[in-house]
Amino acid sequence: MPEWQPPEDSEQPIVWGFELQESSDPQFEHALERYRGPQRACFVSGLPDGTWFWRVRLVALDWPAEAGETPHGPWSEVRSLEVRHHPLALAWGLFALGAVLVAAILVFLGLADRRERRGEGA
Amino acid sequence: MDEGARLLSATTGWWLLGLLSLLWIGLGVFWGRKARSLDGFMLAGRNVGLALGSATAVATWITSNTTMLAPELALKYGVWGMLAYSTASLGLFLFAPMARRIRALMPKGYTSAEFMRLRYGGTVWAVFLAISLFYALTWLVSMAMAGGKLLEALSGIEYRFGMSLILAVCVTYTLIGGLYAVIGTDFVQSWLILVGLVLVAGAILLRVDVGTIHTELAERRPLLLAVLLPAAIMMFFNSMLFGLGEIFHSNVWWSRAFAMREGVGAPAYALAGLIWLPVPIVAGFLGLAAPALGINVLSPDTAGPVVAGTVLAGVGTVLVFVLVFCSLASSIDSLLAATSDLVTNDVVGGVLVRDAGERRLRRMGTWVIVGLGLVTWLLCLPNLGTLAEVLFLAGPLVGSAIWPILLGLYTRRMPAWGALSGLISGSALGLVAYHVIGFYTGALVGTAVSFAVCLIAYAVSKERFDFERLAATRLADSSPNPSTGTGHSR
Repeated sequence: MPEWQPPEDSEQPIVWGFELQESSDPQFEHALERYRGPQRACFVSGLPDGTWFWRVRLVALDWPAEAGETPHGPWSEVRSLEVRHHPLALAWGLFALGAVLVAAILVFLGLADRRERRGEGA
Repeated sequence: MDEGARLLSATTGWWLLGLLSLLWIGLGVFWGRKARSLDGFMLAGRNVGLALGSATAVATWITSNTTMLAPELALKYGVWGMLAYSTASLGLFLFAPMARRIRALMPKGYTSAEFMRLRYGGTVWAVFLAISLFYALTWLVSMAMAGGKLLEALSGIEYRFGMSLILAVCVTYTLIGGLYAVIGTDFVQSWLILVGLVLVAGAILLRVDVGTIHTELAERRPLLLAVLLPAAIMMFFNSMLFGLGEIFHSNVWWSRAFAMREGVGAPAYALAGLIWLPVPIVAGFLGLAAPALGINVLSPDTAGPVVAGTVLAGVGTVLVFVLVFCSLASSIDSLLAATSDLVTNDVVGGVLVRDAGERRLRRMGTWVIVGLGLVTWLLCLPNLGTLAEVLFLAGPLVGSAIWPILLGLYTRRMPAWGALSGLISGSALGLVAYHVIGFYTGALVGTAVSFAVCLIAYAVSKERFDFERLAATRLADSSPNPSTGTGHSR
């Protein structure tokens, strides 16, 4: 979970917040705005395999469009994280094992219950 | 929108907490008038009907995990995670025929551990009891902690006060009314939860359509929609088996099977499964909707209540508060009652005071509830924050109990050494998988290993167990007549 801190001299008349950018490119060629607001952290999930980069900067919140470009501070240093999911072969193997186990329970209980209803005992 | 802001003022939170507390204690006193005998206190006179029976199963199974973990899993593991959680309803469906069998074999039974003792003997009983108590206590502690955290997140009421009050209220009405009070309050709580969830989901769908949520997720969190997210694929059957293990072994469900009237258990559990099935999907939807609604979720385990409260605002936040309180109370009271039954019947009556009669056990039962409440409160007080993970640790343990219970309940050939080997090997290797691969594989591996071991034991065994022995429960001779609910002391 990316976290950040406000600058110590941020007592400005306008309401400052944070903009968090995310990209798979260290130069942020195709960046997504992951968060914009007053919070100092953001929960991230659902990313594919690869190295992911984040950077954050101070921005003026609720800045009227007619007032021109939104005031902002410089970008922070870039933080990165490598996302590496489990191999799909392992995932599907355990999925198949689970399917067999649940099927075994269903068949066993179905047969046992039918025998009991017929009064055959175990 | 951000998670940081409180949805309700602390004053409103305290008023709501006070009113709900008075309501549950009042109803507990009202319904608990009949809980004088041991059967009345522990098993509601063994005379629970279909409406109350299915409602108590639904309310108990809608835990704070359903309102917190389902949205969290959706946010972390996407659509698969949400569907995986809903598969826990299978446990209720499959316990339906088992409830009929349990009631028929042990008409005067009290606990699941008592079944293991009569079916397999003392050693298996001891291991099973340890697993059961570990699971029950971690579930209880995680619920009470969740209560404190949620009330703080919603209204700013300090964690230790919210947690203490929820626990004190549940202990009070369970103490006064036993299972009568638990099942009665569960009935009201289940209605409030279900109506609340439908209103919350409807209000959110009015604010944001499914197409927008899909577009937002596809662009920003593509794997949450993907079929090929490995952790979610592994989690699917693991969640299902964890749920099966929880329900098959826990005295929460066995005590209800003993408490329901003859012929009621099977339809009540099947109906409960049907009602419960869509609940995690509705709750999980809140987690998936968070990115589209622009809600910055700081702590994924509070995503559900925070999204619902933020979107609904005003009266809606009161609704969320009531919903959360009901889902917590309905589980905490059931756990208190069922776990105290285990301790009273199997530890106090079975080991410490073997000659205790019904009246004495009834008195001891109240002290056990107080003690259990106190232990839970002490464990919750430091707010360690890691108990949800400890609850997942129980996955391999309860998964390993599935086949010893099934084979013991339905076959004469299953030997005690096979059940013991299945419990121990399944728990051990399941815990290894939990640590080496991930928490989402523990129950799956535990069940698989236990299944293989139990199957071998069953195949080589020449035992022919006499099911008549299961009717010889410790208090069978002194149990009251189920039709009248009166009893006598030995």
